[in-house]
Amino acid sequence: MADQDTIRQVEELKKYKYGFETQVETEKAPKGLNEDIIRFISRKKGEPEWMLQWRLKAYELWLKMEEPRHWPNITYEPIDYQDLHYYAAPKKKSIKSLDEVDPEILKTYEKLGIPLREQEVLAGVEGAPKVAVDAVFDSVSVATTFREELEKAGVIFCPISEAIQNHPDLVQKYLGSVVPQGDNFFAALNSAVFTDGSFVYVPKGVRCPMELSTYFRINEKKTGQFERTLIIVDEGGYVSYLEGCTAPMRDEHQLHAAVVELIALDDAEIKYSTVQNWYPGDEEGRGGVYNFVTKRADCRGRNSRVSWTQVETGSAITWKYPSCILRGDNSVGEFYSIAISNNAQQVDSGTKMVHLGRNTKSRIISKGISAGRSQNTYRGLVSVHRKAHGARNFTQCDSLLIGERCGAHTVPYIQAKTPHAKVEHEATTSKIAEDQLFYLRTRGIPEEEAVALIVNGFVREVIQKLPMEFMAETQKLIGISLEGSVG
Amino acid sequence: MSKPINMLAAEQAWREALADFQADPAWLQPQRAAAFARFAELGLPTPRTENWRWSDIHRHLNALYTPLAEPQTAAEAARALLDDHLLKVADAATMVFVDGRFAPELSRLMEEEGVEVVALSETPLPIDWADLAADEHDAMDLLNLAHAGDGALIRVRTGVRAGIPLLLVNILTGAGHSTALRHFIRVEEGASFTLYEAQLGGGDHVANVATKAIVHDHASLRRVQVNETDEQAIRLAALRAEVLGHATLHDTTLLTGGRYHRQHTEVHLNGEHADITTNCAYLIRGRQHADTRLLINHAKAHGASRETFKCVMDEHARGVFQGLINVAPGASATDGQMAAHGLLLGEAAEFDSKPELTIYHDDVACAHGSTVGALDEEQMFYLRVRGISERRARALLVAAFVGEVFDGIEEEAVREALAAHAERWLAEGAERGGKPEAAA
Repeated sequence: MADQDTIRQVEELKKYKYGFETQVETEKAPKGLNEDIIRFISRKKGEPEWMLQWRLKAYELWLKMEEPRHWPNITYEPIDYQDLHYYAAPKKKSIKSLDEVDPEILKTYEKLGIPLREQEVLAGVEGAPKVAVDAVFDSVSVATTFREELEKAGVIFCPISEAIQNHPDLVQKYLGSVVPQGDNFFAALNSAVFTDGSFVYVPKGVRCPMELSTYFRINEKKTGQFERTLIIVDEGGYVSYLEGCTAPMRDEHQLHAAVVELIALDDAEIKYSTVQNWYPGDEEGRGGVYNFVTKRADCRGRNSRVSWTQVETGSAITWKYPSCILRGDNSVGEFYSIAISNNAQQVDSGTKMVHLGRNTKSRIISKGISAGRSQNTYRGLVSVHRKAHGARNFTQCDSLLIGERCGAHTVPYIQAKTPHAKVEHEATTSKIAEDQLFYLRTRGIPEEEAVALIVNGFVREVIQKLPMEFMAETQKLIGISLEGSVG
Repeated sequence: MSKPINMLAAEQAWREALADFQADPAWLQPQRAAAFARFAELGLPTPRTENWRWSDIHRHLNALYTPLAEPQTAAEAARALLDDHLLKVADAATMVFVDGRFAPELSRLMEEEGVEVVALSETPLPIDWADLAADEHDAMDLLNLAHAGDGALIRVRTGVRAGIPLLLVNILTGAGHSTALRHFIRVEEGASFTLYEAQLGGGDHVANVATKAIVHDHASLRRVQVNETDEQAIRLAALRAEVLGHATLHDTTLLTGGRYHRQHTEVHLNGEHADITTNCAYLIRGRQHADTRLLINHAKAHGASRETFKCVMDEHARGVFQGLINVAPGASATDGQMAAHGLLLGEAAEFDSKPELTIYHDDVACAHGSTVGALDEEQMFYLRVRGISERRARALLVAAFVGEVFDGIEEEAVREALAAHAERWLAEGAERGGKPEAAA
């Protein structure tokens, strides 16, 4: 019996368990990208004129920009931007309650283990803390939970499309203020065609009473997902935000180009955690998500604090550098990352810490694990400007290689323009220690399990930074991601 | 900063200058022409060229600097410089170049069995053991080959452990011009050799010096180079070395001179158990800009490399370090360690560093570390409470910071001369009064 269980579990592990597809009726924009499509998206969302103009300007900038194909350590076939649907939404209008959501979609999130019903708590955890969820299905948000409870606290948590309608002043003030439309090729594309994403506003002095979470799901074929997240935490506020993502298994590549903007005012704190588990493609590198994401935080206020924690296990290609602009004096930026690549995956990820204010501090802990034929690059920048007296950075980048056909690369940029700062960077690259492996094997632990154990130890420092909900999941994910990497 | 070079005019002038080097030696002419044609295709690097991102050479080369066909100063007039310079202490054979031309009257070549040393300009027939080809992706190396007026070609035969080091001196005098030297060193199986390179003189002059080396199985090459030109000279220096099985290369650089210095060091560990060390100490101030590009390519198994880069920047100086350890597939048991440390003394000084690892094999232990900051306040305090003056304490700490770089130099006199030079540099800095105190 126990044996059967084990066999079943192992079989399940071998598959990307989120690879199923949901049959829902959807409404799609015709393929292609032009001004009319942007007008179409804007009209579908019932947006005001200023929003349309903002998108059109982004599109105009995008047309003149070059795709960043040379500097990142990634290779892929050219993307035909005219062969994508830029809008896909489940057919259903104005949902009043969760009961009106297409049951197929609800089932999808159930299968994914995402609680959309407020009474449901995290599976298997008694008395787990509440988590408010915004579920984005292809191009639109299908449900946001615990809204009333949040509203009582004064926290706004809603799809960004709703925020554009209901809180235009906040959106106009902050949208694009961290990542402007013309920031980079993918950010410009996102600014032109983004369809949904989350909006969070935490007012002065409010500690958000629960964790906020967004769950992204790409379902439709030949669609790109372009979500936009905007989080503003006003003076003295605090929020912890979780982001998860999956996609069905397909032979073709899917494009995901998101933009996330965080703004922390005086004494505010934002903790942003991501478990990225987009479909990575099969062993031969067929299919998988192209994850080209711009994430940036602006520590605008004094004593503000932003912490990025990411676990990157999915996607065929990851191109992502969650960054902090440390503008306010005494502001703190943190980046904790685990990036695991296996088979034919390619990761080019890291962070930028830009020290502008006095006594700004940053800390970077990056753990890269490469297996199979994958290429895993850490690319980071620590820049200390002339007036950033008392700035301090510590960076540690460790890479672990499993197997002899993979690559691990570290590309840090360090720029210091003042003697009143201290920047320290260290990096190591090695393979799994034979003696550790041997020790575990002699205790009867199978090789794959032993590798997973050692890797979990290697990344422990980062896992500890994750919210509890993500910790257990991440440990399991590491095991799954490294399937077939040994022997 | 000054106006950038007019590339159209420069290319024209540089092309015309090719004619001046036709006969030096004639057999090199087709290679020169091809190198210049390729240079013209590439053009000068721009800050968009990743390896040059922190050094805009178009601005540093702010005039045409036409290549000098003949030295601007009679060799005798340059003799005084030879009396007193850092590497003078070495009991070495000497080969002196003035404005990129061999000056036999200033040189002192010594016969040693199994060691051949000739000047490039004095080789009527091609030397089959020297490979002078330029890297066709490197514009500055191509330009070097096109305009190299001379160079030292050195061969140490199999098994010869050369007892007499060779000192190459390059004296710059020709203001407003450029000169180029191209050296080649071949250390054959089991042989060993020590080479010193000194850069003297100065003025508004561009010296492009490229050194190529091949160190065969079980052989050893040790090199120490010093740039003590004045603060006006521009120097483009390159070392391209291939190190084979069980061979060692030990390279040390001390730099205090030059308005702009670009060091390109590229070492390929092309045999198993190759062992290389490169140590650099840069002491710069004023508006000096020193830029190092270091590429260590572990192509074969069991290679070991140690890179230490120390840069002290005072006043408005800017130090740049771009280092890369590459481990090729199959290079098992590679051990690569790179350290780049910047010490900022001046309010307006700046340090840019990019220590990079690209690793395509799992059986490796590679690491890099990079730091930048000012002198440690606690260490300063510790020395001050013991009654050591501020100036002296500072000098002690800076000397300790760069001192490590010289430790690997075998010849005691050279090691001490370099360390003493670093201390003199600090003392001069204090006298310049450009010593800014911490704003706090």
